[in-house]
Amino acid sequence: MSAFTSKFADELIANAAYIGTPGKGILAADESTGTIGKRLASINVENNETNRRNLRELLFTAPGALPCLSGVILFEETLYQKSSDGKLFVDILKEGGVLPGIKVDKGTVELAGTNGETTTQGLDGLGERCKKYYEAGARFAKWRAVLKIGENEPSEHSIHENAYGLARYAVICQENGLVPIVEPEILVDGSHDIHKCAAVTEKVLAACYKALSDHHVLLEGTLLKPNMVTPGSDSAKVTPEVIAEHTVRALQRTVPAAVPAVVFLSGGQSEEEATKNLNAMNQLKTKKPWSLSFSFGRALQQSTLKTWAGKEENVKAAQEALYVRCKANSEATLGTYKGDAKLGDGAAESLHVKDYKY
Amino acid sequence: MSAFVGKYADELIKTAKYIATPGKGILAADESTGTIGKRFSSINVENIESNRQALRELLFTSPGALPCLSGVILFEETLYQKTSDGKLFVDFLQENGVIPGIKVDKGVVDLAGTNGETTTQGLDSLGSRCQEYYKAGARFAKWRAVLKIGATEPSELSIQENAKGLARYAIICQENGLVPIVEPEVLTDGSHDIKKCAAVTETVLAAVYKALNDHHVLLEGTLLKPNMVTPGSDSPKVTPEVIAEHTVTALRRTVPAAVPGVVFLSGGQSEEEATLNLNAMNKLDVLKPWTLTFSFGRALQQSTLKAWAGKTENVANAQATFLTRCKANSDATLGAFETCVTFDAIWIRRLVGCSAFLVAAKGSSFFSFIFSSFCSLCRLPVTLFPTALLRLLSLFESGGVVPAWWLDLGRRVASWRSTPVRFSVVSPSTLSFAQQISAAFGGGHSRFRRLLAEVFCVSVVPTRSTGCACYSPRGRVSSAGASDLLPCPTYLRVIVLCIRNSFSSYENSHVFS
Repeated sequence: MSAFTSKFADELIANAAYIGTPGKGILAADESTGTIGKRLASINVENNETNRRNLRELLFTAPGALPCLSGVILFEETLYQKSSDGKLFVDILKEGGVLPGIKVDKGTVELAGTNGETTTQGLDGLGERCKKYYEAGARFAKWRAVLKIGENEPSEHSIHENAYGLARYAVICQENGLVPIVEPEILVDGSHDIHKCAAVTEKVLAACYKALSDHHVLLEGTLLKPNMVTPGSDSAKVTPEVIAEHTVRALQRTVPAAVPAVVFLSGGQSEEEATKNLNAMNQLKTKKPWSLSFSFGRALQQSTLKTWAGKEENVKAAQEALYVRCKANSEATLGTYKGDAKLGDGAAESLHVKDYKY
Repeated sequence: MSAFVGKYADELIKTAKYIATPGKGILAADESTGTIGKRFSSINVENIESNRQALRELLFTSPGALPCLSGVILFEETLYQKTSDGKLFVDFLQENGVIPGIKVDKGVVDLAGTNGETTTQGLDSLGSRCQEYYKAGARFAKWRAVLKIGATEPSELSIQENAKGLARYAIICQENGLVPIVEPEVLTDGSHDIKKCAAVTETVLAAVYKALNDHHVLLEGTLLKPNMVTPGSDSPKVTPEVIAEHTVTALRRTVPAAVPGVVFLSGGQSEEEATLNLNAMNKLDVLKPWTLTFSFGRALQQSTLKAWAGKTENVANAQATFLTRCKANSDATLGAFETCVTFDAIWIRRLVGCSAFLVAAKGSSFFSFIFSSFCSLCRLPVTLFPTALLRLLSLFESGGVVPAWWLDLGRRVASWRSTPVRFSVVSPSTLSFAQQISAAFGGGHSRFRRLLAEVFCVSVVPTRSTGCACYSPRGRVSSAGASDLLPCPTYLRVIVLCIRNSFSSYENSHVFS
């Protein structure tokens, strides 16, 4: 095979397929210490280890939430944290049928000579780190590459850099037993229309899969985490059906059938928007050889965070809010969401932050 | 869109989708004058225009063949040729639901500095040539890029050059209304194993689709014509299932779902091999977002050419041979090709014929049954059967005793869930032998010839209660009476049932052709 076959090949294929189970998706709870600080600040909660641990415990022990999830992406700190009962989070997740994952990139740095375009770092010692994470219980990894749309962006240079960075990360993960989630996020910032976003998305994805082929990545043991194809944040909105049509078409033109699942990022969309768009995609009657699911961070946690506000007495209500969103998205992966989820506080609120860095 | 959407976009998408219809495929009849000359010399036919016209007329007017085809690739000369009735070939094809296509490349040239690797030429004025071809009736085009496997081949240069050439050709075609068939052929020559072929095929296809994306080609309006993934020609052969698995995996890893169909080339495979491999791919229980069908040249025409040998009196025979290949490959695109079906028919017919005769003669029918069944189980070729039995068959046929059977039970059987038990398989030579016999007998006796050339199949399904159940094209034949005939094994019961069937009257004894 042109694909690299490591001793982990069968496990990678099985795990990737499991994460793509219809009816399930990923909770992205991998906010770095800095980023989670911003979230906690927005609800007036101090950014210390206890609070971070409390938040994650709230999420992972929410009744009914875990059956809607196939994976949770963790930050390194969380990988080693325990619940108040003294049980490791990774064990709680595993027992709940949820695969623990780990964010392995080390943020973005600017590409000199470009107009604010970036590349992602984290390749140094990545092999050793992956081994350690595998021992700690992680079974998949995430690496976020960022591109933006502008007059001359994304440049050929930026596309190439990010695509080959993703490919290198992917094959190192596979060598060490972790399913790589390939995330080439094209930011929604800008005043471009949906056609421009579609063109750029197709170009970027084509480059990614060429790079993955060059690096002998086993596609059956990977997942894709792309942006949905939408108009720019400064442009007029369109219906979920239009978004679904453009998104699925872009995937049809670029993502090989060997990839088991596509787990969308929510970008700056509100909780309800993200769910509705995912639902529309799964209702679309066209060729979709990969399952379409979610890997939401803000779009799963926003109303939960607001409801919690750091207070012990709000935990139950917050967990209820999380369950509502998880259930809604689980239905969306089956195309059966009826839009009737009890909208929590802030569920319809846009989560767009200009030039988002985390 | 990143894809170029010109004024022909809708038409391109529709045409590409039609060509990829399950049950249909492409006949590659685009041999250049030089290449067809080689074919002709192998059957001692002169390479002149009238002979080239005669061959193509033979192929296109074969009764029953065109429904198995969605497209025919033509050489430029053929695009403007007519049938002997004076009708343009392209019009004739279009009227019969077959889309004419045109080969547009101008052959390969060596890439300097490589070890015999090539690139394909033909881009100059391709746009205006495509416009001409569109006016003449062509709706799709073909361009063959060639790569080879060796110690250091295919080189990065060769992959890039050929991929870019294909992409440039593809977009020019789309600008001018022709669906481009993208053909990156990786030659089988060599002693490499199937895994090496798979790795190279995946690398080449990934490069091709990157290039198509770079050139803004509308994938929904293209088709892919790849090689199957096989061991090298100097390596030991593998089963069709292994070929199918490696080929489909390679496609799943590289070909986007937007592509409507994959039309395989046959390379150096024999007619039978190509069909079996295609069939195995379509039977593979894995998700395939494109249809898998054929675009065969030699694998459809080889035996037809031999049967024709340039002589007018052989035309009907050659056409029957061609029809058999077309039908076989059409079935293969549905995963419904059964080698045994055709040949079981011949056997059953013979057994029915000779058994009926022997029953009528009140002879030692039991021993005849044993003998016939024994022969069928041992797969003895029909040449061992005395020709006399075949004469008897024709007597019955003209006397109306042996009714006409439906052909093509294969598809209906496939819809019944049980796995049929086949009890004889004979070689392809048997079928052609049978056809020769029919030609010797038939002459003008076309019904007999048709009967022999048809397929009729009896599916024997083991059931718990009676030990066997017999399905004919009319439906399930009762097996209840089997036990009171003779205490013989399952297959003998079937033979008896066939005879009973053959004596009962049917309302419709039309021949399905």
